[in-house]
Amino acid sequence: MSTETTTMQKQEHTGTEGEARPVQNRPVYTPAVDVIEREDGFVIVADMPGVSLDQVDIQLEDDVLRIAGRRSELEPASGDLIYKEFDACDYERAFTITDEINRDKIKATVKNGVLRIELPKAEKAQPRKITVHAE
Amino acid sequence: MWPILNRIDMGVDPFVELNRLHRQMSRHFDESYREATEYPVLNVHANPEQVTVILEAPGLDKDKLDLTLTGNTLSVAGERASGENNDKDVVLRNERYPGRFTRSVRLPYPVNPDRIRARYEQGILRVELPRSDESKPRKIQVEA
Repeated sequence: MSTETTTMQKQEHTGTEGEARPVQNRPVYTPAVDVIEREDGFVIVADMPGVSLDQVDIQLEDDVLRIAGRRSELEPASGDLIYKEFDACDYERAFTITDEINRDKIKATVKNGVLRIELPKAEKAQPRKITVHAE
Repeated sequence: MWPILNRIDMGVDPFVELNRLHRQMSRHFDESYREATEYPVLNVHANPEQVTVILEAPGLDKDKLDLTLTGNTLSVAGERASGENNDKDVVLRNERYPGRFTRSVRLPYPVNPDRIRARYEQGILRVELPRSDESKPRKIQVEA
């Protein structure tokens, strides 16, 4: 399994120079993700509640696929906050991808606050059945 | 602060619990993860007229959300599909909450069950619960 797990590894945020930061002074969280490898590609599913498709930013630079979700402010609720488990926040996470992926065919959708990215494998990376002929 | 009830476990699946524990522990080692260990996390707002409960519940089917009011307790239950995986798939990461959940909140005062409104948008469930007329404070005239 070790080859599969090194194919897509989470990269730690290093806060490199020039990296886009959220405008507001809000916390940036690492969204919970599922990463699944299929025969023909990878699927990344990330929880980003409160984020719609136009607030998602996906960038592929060299080997790093960076996903960011900028969440709009929640509609204010009347009254005092009497119990709190979450804050308004933004989401960021980065993955290292390899040449195994067909970079032109990466697709992303957002539904009910869940970002789903499909990364099809390049033709050559897909398993091919080789028929052996007996002479 | 009004008292809020913690999550009530109903029909606890030991594997789901183990999963939850594992997630909790993993998160202690990575501070950038959110502190929350429950699904869904929630905030409660209140004024003397209305309580608003906001839950971050990404990836649910609106029609499968089950909201119930029992006395002063609001319960939100549902199920998150654990995925579309088949046997050939290799799961490289699995951090998202799977399966069934129930969360309950004790409300600070009785609410009018006929006027509760709930909305689910972009993975956020918002429930507005107006206070019942009977429980509203009444001004008492003092006679001379």
